[in-house]
Amino acid sequence: MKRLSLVIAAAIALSLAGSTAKAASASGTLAVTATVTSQIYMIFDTDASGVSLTNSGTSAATLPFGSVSAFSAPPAHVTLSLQATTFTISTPVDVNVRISNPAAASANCTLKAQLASADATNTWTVGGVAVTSASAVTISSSLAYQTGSTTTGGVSEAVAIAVPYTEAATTISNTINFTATSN
Amino acid sequence: MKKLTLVIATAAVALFLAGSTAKAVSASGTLAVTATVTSQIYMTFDTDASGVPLTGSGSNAATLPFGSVSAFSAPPANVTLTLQATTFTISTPVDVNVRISNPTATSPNCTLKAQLASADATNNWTVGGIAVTSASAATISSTLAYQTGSTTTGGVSEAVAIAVPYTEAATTISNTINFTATSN
Repeated sequence: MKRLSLVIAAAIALSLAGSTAKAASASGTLAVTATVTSQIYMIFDTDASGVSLTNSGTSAATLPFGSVSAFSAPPAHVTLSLQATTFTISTPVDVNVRISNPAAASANCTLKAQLASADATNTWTVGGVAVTSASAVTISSSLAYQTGSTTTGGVSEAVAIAVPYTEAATTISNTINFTATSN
Repeated sequence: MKKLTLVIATAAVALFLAGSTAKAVSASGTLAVTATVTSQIYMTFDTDASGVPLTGSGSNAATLPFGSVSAFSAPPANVTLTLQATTFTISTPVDVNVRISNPTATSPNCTLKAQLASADATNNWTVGGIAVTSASAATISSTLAYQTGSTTTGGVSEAVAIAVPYTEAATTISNTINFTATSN
């Protein structure tokens, strides 16, 4: 009987020892900081009906109209129209402006354009608005933003050059500088 | 004279006998040694090989400085930027290094939980793809592996990410993620 009591006592002792095997835990803190800056971002995309841009999807693209002449069929996606003293070549380009984290709410932006170099011979327009090197002109005062992750598309703006019939055969080359300013 | 001789002889014998009883003395003692080894589970944060360098890497109170980010520009080194319809997300991996010693019971791994210290009603935080808020601790892993004993670097890579709405005003996002690892 005494031996049985001893065995029972040992069993209770083991049971108590087991109950002290609690889960251990450790903790740590990770402080995280990130400075989010405001950004308005512009890229040019090839329009579905437009000439294929070189470096489409970037903010430094090239629009190659190709070889044009007044009385021949224009290259694909180039519209040719004849006026009294000039003929005009035109193609749409998608201007894709996105905004993130503006300091103040901005519903849209103002798009301006300016020729990098003066062109005394040809007449340039963007979206039907004459563009020169003299100053930046407003193409749109309420250009819509594209939504955040949209990396293609944008607002279609026609880029056109009116070429005098009297101009000697040449290669026309210039750069249009665009700016988009949040409203 | 005879008497003197006897005295000298007696003294000499006495001295000899006395000398022969001066044995080496010895002492003994016992030193009882005790050491209480306690169970420990220990967590540190380490800079991941592909992650943003942590300030205080190797400690359990580190800082993850994402730096300056914007939606449409290249992100800082080791920050991944992805664009969604209404938000952009910045992400970087952090190594969570949990070690254990002398567990009271065998523990093959641990449960890792995370919770934001402060509420963030604007941005969405995730750790290892799991949404983390200040409301309660979310389980990031229920079987996080322990690192071996002396490993002071490395650990399990967990992506820390923040989804930032495009409409949020430019700001500095700052918060603390409290992690706990509990042995299984």
